[in-house]
Amino acid sequence: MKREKSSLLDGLVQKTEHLIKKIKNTKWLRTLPVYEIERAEERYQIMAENGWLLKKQGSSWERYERGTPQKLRYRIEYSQVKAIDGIQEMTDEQVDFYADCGWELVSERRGVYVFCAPAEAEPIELYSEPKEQIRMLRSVHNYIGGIGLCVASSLVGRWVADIWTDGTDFFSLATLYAGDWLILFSIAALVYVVWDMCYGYYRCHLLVRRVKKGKTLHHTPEEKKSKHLVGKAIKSFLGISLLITIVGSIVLIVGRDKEKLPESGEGIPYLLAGEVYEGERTDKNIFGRGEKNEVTHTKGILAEYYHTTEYLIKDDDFVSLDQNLYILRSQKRAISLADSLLEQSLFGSDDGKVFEHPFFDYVVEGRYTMVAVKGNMVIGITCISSDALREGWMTVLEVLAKKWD
Amino acid sequence: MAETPPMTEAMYYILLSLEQPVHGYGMMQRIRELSHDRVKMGPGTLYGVLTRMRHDGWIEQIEAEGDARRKTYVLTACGRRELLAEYHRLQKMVNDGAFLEERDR
Repeated sequence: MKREKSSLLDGLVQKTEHLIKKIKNTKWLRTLPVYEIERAEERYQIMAENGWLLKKQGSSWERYERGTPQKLRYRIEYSQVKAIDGIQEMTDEQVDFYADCGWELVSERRGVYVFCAPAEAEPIELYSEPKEQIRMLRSVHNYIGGIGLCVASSLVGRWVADIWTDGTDFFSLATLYAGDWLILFSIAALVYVVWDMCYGYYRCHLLVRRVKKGKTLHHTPEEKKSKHLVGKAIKSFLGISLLITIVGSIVLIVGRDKEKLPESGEGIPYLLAGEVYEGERTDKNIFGRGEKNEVTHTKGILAEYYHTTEYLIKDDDFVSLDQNLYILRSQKRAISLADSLLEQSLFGSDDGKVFEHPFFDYVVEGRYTMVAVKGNMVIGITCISSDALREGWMTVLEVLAKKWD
Repeated sequence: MAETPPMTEAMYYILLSLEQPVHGYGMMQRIRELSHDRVKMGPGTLYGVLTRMRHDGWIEQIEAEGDARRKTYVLTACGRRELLAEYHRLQKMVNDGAFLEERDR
């Protein structure tokens, strides 16, 4: 038994040592954008001279492993990209062909191939004719342009449609719900993506233009001179803004103000199930979700938001009340938000029945959900109970009218 | 029928090197020999031109004996016609400018 324990421990120690060795002999660097061909080739060369050899390239990170310092030449090649067919992977034949000429494939990822050859062997450059190199660069151009156009048009189109139609749908609900940080995040992400695509497209265009003039790419570090400092600075600034807003959004979501529901409904703008139905609060709920008799409060630019979940039990009767209350900064979008709340509700319906109430501006009911609007206040309540709903809703509205009056 | 535009240097030498079936690397060596070390064609350039010529039916690919992975290229009848046409075009151009040498003498 002791011997078994000892061999198990030895195995564990060996594995840990192996892991530590592996970590020590591995380095990760951020992958450079596709248009930074010269910078990437230079980086691989310098890394190899310092004993770090490129092993794998991902879309975000590239992995280097420790090896013998050596002078290597790296060249990046892109496979053909066509607007309709998408990326056409490089054939084995082409890879073998390059290998015959001394260029070994080191890493590949979706259309981007890195080849390497010992500098001493003085391998022939991949491209001896600029016209052929233009074809390769144009495929990068198409790649960035195609992706950029799709992303930018979908994002911008989405925003424009939202503003024009004045609709408050799921996207708007999300921004209302998460508050300021998510709005900033969406704006930063949109600006970053659009800028990155435009900048990449412009940089590729410059490369194509240069090669068109008969000038080759600067493959050696000595020849390379760093330009485009303003573009890089803008990109870095946008990248940092995006990072800050991501962190902000996470902090906001994790640290959202979540409290147990109060016992009394006095002085609170939202409804308590106990104000309408009889019964004791219970932690057991029929949906099995984690939320139990809690209220979440968020303050955003567009709205102050409360979300409650509450469960009551009396004998065999069960009441589940889920509530979203928005106190909007402007009442302009209140009605469209109300309709959207009903549509988005799991227990609501698309064709709600509107009914009149002397206090409320707008009341609509669909299946188990009722939405009411008064000025800039919009409330959506989903209530699952054995009571007759319409009568239940009338009581709910009376209680709310008293609270909001 | 539209006239074929003049060939690039790379196209001309690739077709020239395919007088006999040859694989990619052999083609590069052959081009160096034919051009007396003047044209050192890169594999990227060579492969791009080969792909287009194959698409146009000027050359075709056959499997090399004993090595299924390594592909060998040969000239088609159409490719030979195009090569000859280009050769005659170049020859005519040289003849047309022959007086330059006589004037220099």
